Amino acid sequence: MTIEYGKPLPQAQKWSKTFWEGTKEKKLLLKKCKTCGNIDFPPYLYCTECMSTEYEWIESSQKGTVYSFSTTYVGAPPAFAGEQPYTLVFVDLVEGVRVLSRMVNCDPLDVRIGMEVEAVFETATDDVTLVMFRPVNSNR
Amino acid sequence: MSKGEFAIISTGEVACGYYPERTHLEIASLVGYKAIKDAGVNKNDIDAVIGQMSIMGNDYNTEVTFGRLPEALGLKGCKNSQLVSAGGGSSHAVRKAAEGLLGTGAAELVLVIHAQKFSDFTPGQLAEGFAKAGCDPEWEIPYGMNFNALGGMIAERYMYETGTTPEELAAVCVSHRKWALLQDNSMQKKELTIKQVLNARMVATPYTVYMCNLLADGGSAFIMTTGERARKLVDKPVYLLGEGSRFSHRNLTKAKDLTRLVNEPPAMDAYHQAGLGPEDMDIAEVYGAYPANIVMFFEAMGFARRGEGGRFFREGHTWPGGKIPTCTNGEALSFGHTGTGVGTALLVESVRQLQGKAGRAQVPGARFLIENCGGGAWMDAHMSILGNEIP
Repeated sequence: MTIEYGKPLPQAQKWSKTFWEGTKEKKLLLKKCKTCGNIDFPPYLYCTECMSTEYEWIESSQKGTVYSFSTTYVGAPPAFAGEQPYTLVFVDLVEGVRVLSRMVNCDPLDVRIGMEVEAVFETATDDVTLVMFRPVNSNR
Repeated sequence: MSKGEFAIISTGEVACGYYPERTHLEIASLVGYKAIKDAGVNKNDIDAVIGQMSIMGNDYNTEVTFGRLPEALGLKGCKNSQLVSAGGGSSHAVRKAAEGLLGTGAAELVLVIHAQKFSDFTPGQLAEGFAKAGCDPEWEIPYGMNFNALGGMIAERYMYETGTTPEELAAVCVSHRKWALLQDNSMQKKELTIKQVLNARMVATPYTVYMCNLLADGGSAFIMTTGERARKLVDKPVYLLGEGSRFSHRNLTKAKDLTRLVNEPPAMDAYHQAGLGPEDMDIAEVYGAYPANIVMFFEAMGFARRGEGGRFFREGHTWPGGKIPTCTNGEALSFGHTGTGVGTALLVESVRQLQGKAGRAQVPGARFLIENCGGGAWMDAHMSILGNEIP
């Protein structure tokens, strides 16, 4: 499966494994500090605000807005060249963290800053499911 | 560093572009030779060498780490040799390393060398290599994130918030090109118009091919010493007068404000230490690598109000003969992008300008200037004021 996939896959750290287990169940999990309430995305060993090691994984609403975007037409790393053009988006999740992802189910020319989007889970391999975003109300 | 405590006395540079026959060590040797000759010092008086890390070139980095430069250049009095990197922020990091050697008395004359050979790699390898330099392997690269997209996403947000137009961003490329035409070592040799920039092939929106930097082979070098010693060695030392630095993020998603990043506070720190302001600057050597970043940093340096920098470029105030000559070597967009060496090339050009050795690009009577650098996905910002006198 991995060999057929042919694109770089995320190599999880000890503290991010739970995130990638979550995506397989269509959950977008965020690591929230139990001491100060800070959400770290990406997650790290301890809370990057208060250094607490007490945390919980919360389920994101999976909704957010496009903070910025760019559509790659040429010059992508070789593994992605066949998918050009594709639109990368920074999404501000309702929970207050920004994530980088790919826009799906939307013409590159229709992507706008401020657009409301929701997560879509795309199976890459048996072990890895990536999180993409699509416009809210798009029927897919 | 105190104001005027350290100075740069000489520079060396080779032509930037596609030179597959020229090896990494050849570039390093040539720029080292030129910097020593330009200073007019005895090579054996150079007691430290700092090799600036090549962004792609592991074998060269290994060679530099293990002492190739002092041996190849015959620096018989060398006491210290090292490899330093902070990506695109390296031109600052090497100065800090040199200051450490000079300030502690470990060295009296430090030679800094950068060399890069991108023609060893295929376009695909370069795209992959730069993706790794700017993007997170776990959270970004699996989605196809690439360096031009990083620049594009900043530009889209910057235009959205400030009303800056694609024409104004294209004007940055045009301004750069005018300067590059005055530089013998620049990669680009042809005039450019706004129309050409905007009609060219789209790479990563809103950037066309002319708005993305050109990876090139090249290199530069300089010799640094204390201000006191510099005055005894050369007629016109270039003093480090003020500086400011900030670190912001690794992943661009962690930058709080994509349209400002963290450039204004370090610029203000640098002016404050130098006791000078934007109105005292004769030149702005801005390293942004993409038009929106250049405009943003130009504004942070105090040359235009937020959102008005693009118009400033479009009106020609940054051109040769303009109010504030900007990026007088053509920067990454026209001189060529040599990996960690873009800031070094701008620093070397800064020194040439202040020494009156900038040839056709010389800004008459230049006394003070501001220059900057930063690495990764604009992870940090380093601003410096240089001058050929201590105000």
